[in-house]
Amino acid sequence: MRVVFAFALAALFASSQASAQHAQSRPIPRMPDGKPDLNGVWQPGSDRPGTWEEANQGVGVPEPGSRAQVTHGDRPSYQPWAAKKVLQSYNLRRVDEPVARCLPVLDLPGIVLYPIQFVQTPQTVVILIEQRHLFRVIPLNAKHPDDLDPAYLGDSVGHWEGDTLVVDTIGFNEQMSGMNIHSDALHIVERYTRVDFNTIDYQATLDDPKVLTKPHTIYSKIMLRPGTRLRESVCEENNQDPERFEKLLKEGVVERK
Amino acid sequence: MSRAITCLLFVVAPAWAHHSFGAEYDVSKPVTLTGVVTKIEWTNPHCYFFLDVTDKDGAVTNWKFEGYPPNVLSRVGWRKDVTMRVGDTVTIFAWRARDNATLAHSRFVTFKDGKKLESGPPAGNGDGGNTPPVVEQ
Repeated sequence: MRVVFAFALAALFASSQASAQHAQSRPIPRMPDGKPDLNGVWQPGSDRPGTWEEANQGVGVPEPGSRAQVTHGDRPSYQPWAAKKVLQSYNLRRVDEPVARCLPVLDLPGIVLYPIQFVQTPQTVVILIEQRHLFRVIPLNAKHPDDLDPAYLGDSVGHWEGDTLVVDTIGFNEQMSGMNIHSDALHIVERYTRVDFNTIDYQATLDDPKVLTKPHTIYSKIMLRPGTRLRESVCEENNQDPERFEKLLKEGVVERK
Repeated sequence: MSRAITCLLFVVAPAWAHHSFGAEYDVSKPVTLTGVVTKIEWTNPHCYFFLDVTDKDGAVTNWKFEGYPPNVLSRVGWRKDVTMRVGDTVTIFAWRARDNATLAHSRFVTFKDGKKLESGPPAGNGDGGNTPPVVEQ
Protein backbone atom coordinates (compact mmCIF):
# COMPACT_ATOMS: atom_id res chain seq x y z
CA MET A 1 0.00 0.00 0.00
CA ARG A 2 2.80 2.34 1.04
CA VAL A 3 4.69 1.47 -2.14
CA VAL A 4 1.63 2.29 -4.25
CA PHE A 5 1.27 5.61 -2.40
CA ALA A 6 4.95 6.41 -2.95
CA PHE A 7 4.63 5.60 -6.64
CA ALA A 8 1.52 7.77 -6.91
CA LEU A 9 3.32 10.64 -5.18
CA ALA A 10 6.38 10.25 -7.41
CA ALA A 11 4.15 10.18 -10.51
CA LEU A 12 2.30 13.28 -9.34
CA PHE A 13 5.58 15.11 -8.69
CA ALA A 14 7.00 14.02 -12.05
CA SER A 15 3.85 15.09 -13.87
CA SER A 16 3.81 18.55 -12.23
CA GLN A 17 7.51 18.98 -13.05
CA ALA A 18 6.86 17.83 -16.58
CA SER A 19 3.92 20.19 -17.00
CA ALA A 20 5.99 23.17 -15.79
CA GLN A 21 8.81 22.18 -18.16
CA HIS A 22 6.31 21.62 -20.95
CA ALA A 23 4.91 25.14 -20.47
CA GLN A 24 8.45 26.50 -20.39
CA SER A 25 9.38 24.74 -23.61
CA ARG A 26 6.18 25.70 -25.47
CA PRO A 27 6.90 28.17 -28.25
CA ILE A 28 6.14 31.84 -27.74
CA PRO A 29 2.64 32.44 -29.16
CA ARG A 30 2.60 34.81 -32.12
CA MET A 31 0.02 37.10 -33.72
CA PRO A 32 -0.86 36.65 -37.42
CA ASP A 33 1.62 39.50 -38.13
CA GLY A 34 4.41 37.43 -36.54
CA LYS A 35 4.81 39.62 -33.45
CA PRO A 36 4.85 37.96 -30.02
CA ASP A 37 1.29 37.60 -28.69
CA LEU A 38 1.12 39.21 -25.24
CA ASN A 39 -2.66 38.75 -24.85
CA GLY A 40 -3.55 37.35 -21.45
CA VAL A 41 -3.48 37.98 -17.73
CA TRP A 42 -0.07 38.41 -16.11
CA GLN A 43 1.46 38.96 -12.65
CA PRO A 44 4.06 41.74 -12.49
CA GLY A 45 7.04 41.56 -10.15
CA SER A 46 7.08 37.75 -9.96
CA ASP A 47 9.45 35.14 -11.41
CA ARG A 48 7.44 32.01 -10.55
CA PRO A 49 5.68 30.15 -13.39
CA GLY A 50 2.23 28.58 -13.03
CA THR A 51 -1.28 29.59 -12.15
CA TRP A 52 -1.86 32.34 -9.57
CA GLU A 53 -2.47 29.67 -6.91
CA GLU A 54 0.66 27.66 -7.82
CA ALA A 55 2.92 30.69 -7.99
CA ASN A 56 1.64 32.34 -4.82
CA GLN A 57 1.08 29.32 -2.60
CA GLY A 58 1.75 29.53 1.10
CA VAL A 59 2.07 33.11 2.16
CA GLY A 60 1.08 35.07 -0.93
CA VAL A 61 2.89 38.13 0.24
CA PRO A 62 6.01 37.02 2.11
CA GLU A 63 7.50 38.77 5.11
CA PRO A 64 9.89 41.53 4.00
CA GLY A 65 13.35 40.15 3.29
CA SER A 66 12.26 36.49 3.23
CA ARG A 67 12.26 36.29 -0.58
CA ALA A 68 14.39 38.14 -3.11
CA GLN A 69 12.57 41.04 -4.76
CA VAL A 70 12.12 40.44 -8.47
CA THR A 71 11.99 44.16 -9.28
CA HIS A 72 15.34 45.85 -8.82
CA GLY A 73 17.42 48.56 -10.39
CA ASP A 74 19.50 51.69 -10.04
CA ARG A 75 18.69 54.18 -7.32
CA PRO A 76 17.33 57.45 -8.73
CA SER A 77 19.94 60.19 -8.55
CA TYR A 78 18.08 63.35 -7.52
CA GLN A 79 19.13 66.95 -7.92
CA PRO A 80 19.63 68.53 -4.46
CA TRP A 81 16.28 70.40 -4.40
CA ALA A 82 14.44 67.26 -5.47
CA ALA A 83 16.27 65.11 -2.89
CA LYS A 84 15.00 67.48 -0.18
CA LYS A 85 11.45 67.13 -1.45
CA VAL A 86 11.70 63.32 -1.56
CA LEU A 87 12.97 63.30 2.01
CA GLN A 88 10.10 65.56 3.04
CA SER A 89 7.65 63.17 1.40
CA TYR A 90 9.30 60.18 3.14
CA ASN A 91 8.96 61.91 6.50
CA LEU A 92 5.29 62.66 5.79
CA ARG A 93 4.43 59.13 4.67
CA ARG A 94 2.61 58.42 7.92
CA VAL A 95 0.25 61.35 7.65
CA ASP A 96 -0.20 61.85 3.95
CA GLU A 97 0.50 60.10 0.67
CA PRO A 98 -1.21 60.31 -2.73
CA VAL A 99 -1.89 56.57 -2.90
CA ALA A 100 -3.86 56.68 0.35
CA ARG A 101 -6.04 59.38 -1.21
CA CYS A 102 -6.82 56.94 -4.08
CA LEU A 103 -4.91 59.00 -6.66
CA PRO A 104 -3.53 57.04 -9.62
CA VAL A 105 0.17 56.19 -9.79
CA LEU A 106 2.06 54.56 -12.65
CA ASP A 107 3.60 51.62 -10.79
CA LEU A 108 6.27 49.98 -12.91
CA PRO A 109 5.92 47.21 -13.85
CA GLY A 110 2.99 46.82 -11.45
CA ILE A 111 2.16 45.63 -7.96
CA VAL A 112 2.80 41.94 -7.39
CA LEU A 113 -0.55 41.47 -5.59
CA TYR A 114 -2.63 42.62 -8.53
CA PRO A 115 -2.78 41.17 -12.07
CA ILE A 116 -2.57 43.13 -15.30
CA GLN A 117 -4.01 42.16 -18.68
CA PHE A 118 -2.59 42.77 -22.15
CA VAL A 119 -5.07 43.28 -24.99
CA GLN A 120 -3.15 43.36 -28.26
CA THR A 121 -4.01 44.10 -31.87
CA PRO A 122 -1.57 44.92 -34.71
CA GLN A 123 -2.37 48.64 -34.15
CA THR A 124 -2.72 48.97 -30.39
CA VAL A 125 -1.66 47.39 -27.11
CA VAL A 126 -3.89 48.05 -24.08
CA ILE A 127 -2.69 47.28 -20.57
CA LEU A 128 -5.52 46.89 -18.06
CA ILE A 129 -4.37 47.33 -14.46
CA GLU A 130 -6.60 45.82 -11.78
CA GLN A 131 -5.25 47.93 -8.93
CA ARG A 132 -7.15 51.24 -8.95
CA HIS A 133 -8.92 50.31 -12.22
CA LEU A 134 -6.35 51.93 -14.50
CA PHE A 135 -5.70 51.38 -18.18
CA ARG A 136 -2.97 52.35 -20.64
CA VAL A 137 -3.85 52.63 -24.32
CA ILE A 138 -0.65 52.32 -26.38
CA PRO A 139 -1.05 53.05 -30.12
CA LEU A 140 1.69 51.38 -32.17
CA ASN A 141 3.85 53.25 -34.70
CA ALA A 142 2.14 56.50 -33.67
CA LYS A 143 3.40 59.89 -32.50
CA HIS A 144 2.53 61.53 -29.21
CA PRO A 145 -0.26 64.08 -29.77
CA ASP A 146 0.63 67.78 -29.89
CA ASP A 147 -2.03 68.77 -27.36
CA LEU A 148 -0.97 66.63 -24.40
CA ASP A 149 -2.76 67.23 -21.11
CA PRO A 150 -0.63 66.52 -18.05
CA ALA A 151 -1.71 63.07 -16.84
CA TYR A 152 -1.08 60.69 -13.94
CA LEU A 153 -0.13 57.85 -16.30
CA GLY A 154 1.21 60.07 -19.08
CA ASP A 155 0.77 59.42 -22.80
CA SER A 156 2.20 56.23 -24.30
CA VAL A 157 3.07 55.16 -27.83
CA GLY A 158 4.74 51.91 -28.83
CA HIS A 159 6.58 50.05 -31.54
CA TRP A 160 8.19 46.66 -32.04
CA GLU A 161 11.96 46.26 -32.15
CA GLY A 162 12.23 42.63 -33.25
CA ASP A 163 10.41 40.66 -30.54
CA THR A 164 10.52 43.52 -28.01
CA LEU A 165 7.60 45.88 -27.47
CA VAL A 166 9.07 49.33 -26.78
CA VAL A 167 6.74 51.81 -25.05
CA ASP A 168 7.59 55.51 -24.89
CA THR A 169 5.72 57.60 -22.29
CA ILE A 170 5.70 61.37 -21.71
CA GLY A 171 3.07 63.94 -20.69
CA PHE A 172 3.08 63.39 -16.93
CA ASN A 173 1.68 65.78 -14.38
CA GLU A 174 3.85 66.84 -11.45
CA GLN A 175 2.18 64.77 -8.75
CA MET A 176 4.32 62.95 -6.27
CA SER A 177 4.39 59.29 -7.14
CA GLY A 178 4.38 57.52 -3.79
CA MET A 179 7.57 58.71 -2.16
CA ASN A 180 9.20 59.62 -5.46
CA ILE A 181 9.08 62.90 -7.26
CA HIS A 182 8.85 63.61 -10.96
CA SER A 183 8.27 66.63 -13.17
CA ASP A 184 6.39 67.18 -16.42
CA ALA A 185 9.68 66.34 -18.16
CA LEU A 186 9.58 62.69 -17.05
CA HIS A 187 10.28 60.40 -19.99
CA ILE A 188 9.98 56.63 -19.60
CA VAL A 189 11.06 54.02 -22.12
CA GLU A 190 9.85 50.50 -21.30
CA ARG A 191 10.90 47.29 -23.02
CA TYR A 192 8.67 44.19 -22.84
CA THR A 193 10.34 41.02 -24.21
CA ARG A 194 8.47 37.71 -24.04
CA VAL A 195 11.49 35.43 -23.55
CA ASP A 196 9.52 32.19 -23.14
CA PHE A 197 5.93 30.99 -22.90
CA ASN A 198 5.61 32.08 -19.25
CA THR A 199 7.86 35.10 -18.98
CA ILE A 200 8.16 38.72 -20.07
CA ASP A 201 11.50 40.34 -19.27
CA TYR A 202 10.77 43.94 -18.30
CA GLN A 203 13.03 46.96 -18.34
CA ALA A 204 12.20 50.64 -17.84
CA THR A 205 14.52 53.61 -18.15
CA LEU A 206 13.34 56.79 -16.45
CA ASP A 207 14.78 60.17 -17.35
CA ASP A 208 13.69 63.48 -15.86
CA PRO A 209 16.21 66.26 -16.53
CA LYS A 210 14.36 68.70 -14.22
CA VAL A 211 14.57 66.33 -11.24
CA LEU A 212 17.29 63.71 -11.77
CA THR A 213 21.01 64.12 -12.43
CA LYS A 214 20.98 61.12 -14.81
CA PRO A 215 18.53 58.48 -16.10
CA HIS A 216 18.04 55.26 -14.13
CA THR A 217 16.80 51.83 -15.10
CA ILE A 218 14.70 49.22 -13.31
CA TYR A 219 14.41 45.54 -14.22
CA SER A 220 11.70 43.01 -13.48
CA LYS A 221 9.77 40.01 -14.74
CA ILE A 222 6.09 39.59 -15.58
CA MET A 223 4.64 36.07 -15.47
CA LEU A 224 1.69 34.58 -17.38
CA ARG A 225 -1.17 33.54 -15.07
CA PRO A 226 -3.51 31.16 -16.91
CA GLY A 227 -7.04 31.11 -15.51
CA THR A 228 -6.76 34.39 -13.59
CA ARG A 229 -9.27 37.14 -14.29
CA LEU A 230 -9.20 40.82 -13.40
CA ARG A 231 -11.53 41.80 -10.60
CA GLU A 232 -13.11 45.05 -9.46
CA SER A 233 -11.08 47.46 -7.33
CA VAL A 234 -12.76 50.73 -6.36
CA CYS A 235 -10.46 52.58 -3.98
CA GLU A 236 -12.99 55.28 -3.10
CA GLU A 237 -15.57 52.83 -1.72
CA ASN A 238 -14.54 52.72 1.94
CA ASN A 239 -11.33 54.74 2.13
CA GLN A 240 -10.86 55.67 5.78
CA ASP A 241 -7.38 57.15 5.38
CA PRO A 242 -8.01 60.89 4.88
CA GLU A 243 -10.03 60.94 8.11
CA ARG A 244 -7.33 58.87 9.82
CA PHE A 245 -4.57 61.26 8.72
CA GLU A 246 -6.45 64.24 10.13
CA LYS A 247 -7.05 62.40 13.40
CA LEU A 248 -3.40 61.37 13.76
CA LEU A 249 -2.29 64.95 13.14
CA LYS A 250 -4.90 66.47 15.45
CA GLU A 251 -4.09 64.12 18.31
CA GLY A 252 -0.36 64.64 17.86
CA VAL A 253 0.26 60.91 17.32
CA VAL A 254 2.35 61.92 14.32
CA GLU A 255 3.64 65.33 13.37
CA ARG A 256 3.71 67.01 9.99
CA LYS A 257 7.41 67.84 9.86
CA MET B 1 33.88 46.79 -4.95
CA SER B 2 30.95 45.13 -3.24
CA ARG B 3 30.32 48.40 -1.39
CA ALA B 4 30.14 50.27 -4.67
CA ILE B 5 27.57 47.79 -5.98
CA THR B 6 25.49 48.16 -2.82
CA CYS B 7 25.37 51.87 -3.44
CA LEU B 8 24.41 51.48 -7.07
CA LEU B 9 21.75 48.82 -6.78
CA PHE B 10 18.67 48.96 -4.65
CA VAL B 11 15.54 46.98 -4.21
CA VAL B 12 12.51 48.88 -5.44
CA ALA B 13 10.34 49.43 -2.38
CA PRO B 14 7.37 47.07 -2.73
CA ALA B 15 4.05 48.88 -2.82
CA TRP B 16 1.67 46.15 -1.76
CA ALA B 17 -0.76 48.19 0.17
CA HIS B 18 -3.03 51.12 -0.17
CA HIS B 19 -1.20 53.07 2.53
CA SER B 20 1.80 52.91 4.77
CA PHE B 21 1.53 50.36 7.62
CA GLY B 22 3.25 52.74 10.01
CA ALA B 23 0.53 55.36 9.53
CA GLU B 24 -1.67 53.49 11.97
CA TYR B 25 -0.07 50.27 13.21
CA ASP B 26 2.81 49.31 15.48
CA VAL B 27 4.99 46.34 14.45
CA SER B 28 6.16 45.95 18.05
CA LYS B 29 2.60 45.18 19.18
CA PRO B 30 1.63 41.77 17.68
CA VAL B 31 -1.56 40.28 19.08
CA THR B 32 -3.47 37.00 18.67
CA LEU B 33 -7.15 37.17 19.59
CA THR B 34 -10.02 34.69 19.48
CA GLY B 35 -13.58 35.92 19.29
CA VAL B 36 -16.94 35.88 17.57
CA VAL B 37 -17.40 37.71 14.24
CA THR B 38 -19.97 40.53 14.60
CA LYS B 39 -19.60 42.34 11.26
CA ILE B 40 -17.72 42.05 7.95
CA GLU B 41 -17.14 45.03 5.63
CA TRP B 42 -16.19 43.38 2.31
CA THR B 43 -14.95 46.65 0.78
CA ASN B 44 -12.15 48.45 -1.04
CA PRO B 45 -9.47 49.52 -0.47
CA HIS B 46 -9.57 47.34 2.66
CA CYS B 47 -11.90 44.82 4.22
CA TYR B 48 -12.71 45.20 7.90
CA PHE B 49 -13.61 42.36 10.28
CA PHE B 50 -15.20 43.06 13.69
CA LEU B 51 -14.82 40.56 16.53
CA ASP B 52 -16.33 40.33 20.03
CA VAL B 53 -13.45 39.25 22.26
CA THR B 54 -14.16 38.10 25.81
CA ASP B 55 -11.38 38.62 28.36
CA LYS B 56 -10.63 36.43 31.39
CA ASP B 57 -13.01 38.45 33.55
CA GLY B 58 -15.87 37.97 31.10
CA ALA B 59 -15.82 41.51 29.71
CA VAL B 60 -16.58 41.71 25.99
CA THR B 61 -14.77 44.15 23.70
CA ASN B 62 -15.51 44.68 20.02
CA TRP B 63 -12.28 44.79 17.95
CA LYS B 64 -11.85 46.07 14.41
CA PHE B 65 -9.33 44.38 12.08
CA GLU B 66 -8.12 45.75 8.75
CA GLY B 67 -7.47 43.28 5.91
CA TYR B 68 -6.85 42.87 2.18
CA PRO B 69 -9.43 44.18 -0.33
CA PRO B 70 -11.93 41.65 -1.80
CA ASN B 71 -9.96 41.01 -5.01
CA VAL B 72 -6.86 39.91 -3.08
CA LEU B 73 -8.84 37.92 -0.48
CA SER B 74 -10.58 36.05 -3.32
CA ARG B 75 -7.22 35.04 -4.79
CA VAL B 76 -5.85 33.74 -1.48
CA GLY B 77 -8.83 31.46 -0.96
CA TRP B 78 -11.60 33.57 0.60
CA ARG B 79 -15.24 33.53 -0.54
CA LYS B 80 -17.61 36.30 0.52
CA ASP B 81 -20.32 35.08 2.94
CA VAL B 82 -18.87 31.53 2.85
CA THR B 83 -15.37 31.53 4.34
CA MET B 84 -16.26 33.63 7.37
CA ARG B 85 -19.73 34.61 8.58
CA VAL B 86 -21.17 36.66 11.40
CA GLY B 87 -21.38 34.38 14.43
CA ASP B 88 -18.29 32.30 13.55
CA THR B 89 -15.53 31.93 16.14
CA VAL B 90 -12.12 32.70 14.65
CA THR B 91 -8.58 33.50 15.79
CA ILE B 92 -6.80 36.48 14.23
CA PHE B 93 -3.10 37.33 14.27
CA ALA B 94 -2.59 41.06 13.91
CA TRP B 95 -0.58 44.13 14.89
CA ARG B 96 -2.25 46.72 17.12
CA ALA B 97 -2.85 50.33 16.18
CA ARG B 98 -0.65 53.03 17.67
CA ASP B 99 -3.46 55.00 19.27
CA ASN B 100 -6.63 52.90 19.14
CA ALA B 101 -6.94 50.16 21.75
CA THR B 102 -9.37 48.02 19.75
CA LEU B 103 -8.02 48.38 16.20
CA ALA B 104 -5.48 46.06 14.57
CA HIS B 105 -3.94 45.16 11.20
CA SER B 106 -4.70 41.50 10.49
CA ARG B 107 -2.27 39.06 8.85
CA PHE B 108 -3.84 35.58 9.34
CA VAL B 109 -7.24 34.24 10.29
CA THR B 110 -7.53 30.70 11.69
CA PHE B 111 -10.96 29.08 11.51
CA LYS B 112 -12.60 26.57 13.87
CA ASP B 113 -11.63 23.62 11.65
CA GLY B 114 -7.96 24.64 11.84
CA LYS B 115 -7.84 26.11 8.34
CA LYS B 116 -5.65 29.22 8.21
CA LEU B 117 -5.84 31.93 5.53
CA GLU B 118 -3.88 35.07 4.84
CA SER B 119 -6.02 38.12 5.55
CA GLY B 120 -3.61 41.04 5.17
CA PRO B 121 -0.08 41.95 4.11
CA PRO B 122 3.01 41.73 6.31
CA ALA B 123 3.91 44.44 8.79
CA GLY B 124 5.80 47.38 7.40
CA ASN B 125 4.46 47.18 3.86
CA GLY B 126 4.19 50.44 1.97
CA ASP B 127 6.41 52.13 4.54
CA GLY B 128 9.25 52.76 2.14
CA GLY B 129 11.70 50.83 4.29
CA ASN B 130 13.46 51.93 7.44
CA THR B 131 15.95 54.21 5.72
CA PRO B 132 15.09 57.31 3.74
CA PRO B 133 15.24 56.98 -0.06
CA VAL B 134 17.77 59.81 -0.20
CA VAL B 135 20.67 60.92 1.95
CA GLU B 136 19.83 64.01 3.99
CA GLN B 137 21.49 67.02 2.44
